[in-house]
Amino acid sequence: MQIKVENISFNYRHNQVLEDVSFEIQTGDYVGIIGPNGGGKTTLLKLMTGLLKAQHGHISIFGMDPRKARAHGKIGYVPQRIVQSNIQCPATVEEIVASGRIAKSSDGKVIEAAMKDADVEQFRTRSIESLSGGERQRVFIARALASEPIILILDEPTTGVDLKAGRNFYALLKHLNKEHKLTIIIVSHDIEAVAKEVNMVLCLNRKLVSTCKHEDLKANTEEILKALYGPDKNFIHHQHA
Amino acid sequence: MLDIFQYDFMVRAFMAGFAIAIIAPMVGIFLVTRRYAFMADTLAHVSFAGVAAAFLLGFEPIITALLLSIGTSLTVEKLRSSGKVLGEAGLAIFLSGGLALASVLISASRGLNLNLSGVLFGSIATVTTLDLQLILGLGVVVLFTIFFLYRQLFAISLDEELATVSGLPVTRLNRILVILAAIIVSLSMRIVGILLVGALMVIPVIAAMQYKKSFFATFIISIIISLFSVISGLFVSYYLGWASGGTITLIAITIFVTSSLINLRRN
Repeated sequence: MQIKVENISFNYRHNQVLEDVSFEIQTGDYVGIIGPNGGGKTTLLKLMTGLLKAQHGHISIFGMDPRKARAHGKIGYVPQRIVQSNIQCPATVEEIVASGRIAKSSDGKVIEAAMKDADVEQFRTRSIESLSGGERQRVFIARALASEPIILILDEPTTGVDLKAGRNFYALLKHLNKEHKLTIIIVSHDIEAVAKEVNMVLCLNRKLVSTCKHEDLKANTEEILKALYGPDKNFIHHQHA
Repeated sequence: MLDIFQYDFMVRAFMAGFAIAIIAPMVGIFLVTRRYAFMADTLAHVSFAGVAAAFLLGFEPIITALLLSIGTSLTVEKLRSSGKVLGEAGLAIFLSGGLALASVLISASRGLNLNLSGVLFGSIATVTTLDLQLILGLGVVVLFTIFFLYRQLFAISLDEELATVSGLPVTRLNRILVILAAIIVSLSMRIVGILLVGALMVIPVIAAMQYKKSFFATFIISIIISLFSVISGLFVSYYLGWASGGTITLIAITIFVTSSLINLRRN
């Protein structure tokens, strides 16, 4: 068992964001988390990365507390706002990727490999602010890979990224999952893309509404989404080319 | 030898200026990139209160300023990281509070010989042997701390959340950074003056950022700009009798404007 989430509840003051959420993730899983805004997706990721501490319940990563797991460099993380944020730091791509290996000894070969895997080698001397959203996305993936993580956690990674860059991005994640056996957990609003890519979907709206395999989500999309977003919502399908 | 170096006070001023010119932007770059540049000014105003208290109570000004400045930096950082007070709002409280306390203490110490102009705008003649020993000693501490923590401080400058998940002790590193800033502010006030101390930590950095190089290159360029501003500023200030702090700051601003124009033209 790689990740075990047991009866997690979390409140921001009097606002309950997560209630009694439990699930398990195995090594090599590619997991999508979907749900409405305010449904607790980002909070769940922050609990799994140890950025927040749950008031109730327990999370273990390889049997360790998330704070301990991240100290060992086991978790790669790409937060929601990083791609769109106005980074004031005058840093090159190479410097940013190398900063991902900060808790471990610096290793040029691993940093090179991370840049190669994320296909950002050609930007190495460019400043981050000169790159497009899709390119920045890949830089922060490379940064996460530089720590040689076992789990890669991404929060809304394709927000603000154009369709082509989004497609390339999902292809990169698939490659990392298949070839590098990296466990990937991704929060996304793009249900179609998530359904197409992942092998397990967590439907979250404060509570875990359902946990299903991607085939189940494909077969019962309407039903699951109505349970998640409410019965009065209409869903418009779109296809990723 | 230049006649300027015939005087012991000028030799002390140059040695102190050289040390401060190196360490100020080394810490300043981590404040600027985290949008925390206002911290230096806040600590300078608190140091002013420390100097006024020292005059009133008969303590050594630089040591009182140093202790008060370190205490304030840790309190501001705690308020910021707890999220109870917005970073800039917290700084504003301490900035105004420091100045208010200083003005009350100065009025209470009426009759004592406080060189207000020298404290506010810098006076190269006032660098004492004790000041120089403190500047060189603590300067070495700052230099080594930055040398050993450069990668970690860069990571938190990029993004605190990412640095936390990467396994860095972000709270501890933030505390170290603000303590370093407090040390530099207190040490710099003899040369550039309390009102202009922030300039030495911030202006060379934003001038260097205009060249859009890597973080490390910006780090080095900012030290070069700072050194040039301080050394040339001390010469000008000696020969023309101008306040050292103002002269150094105006030179740094001139370099910033020139760098911005070069950047504009390149784009």
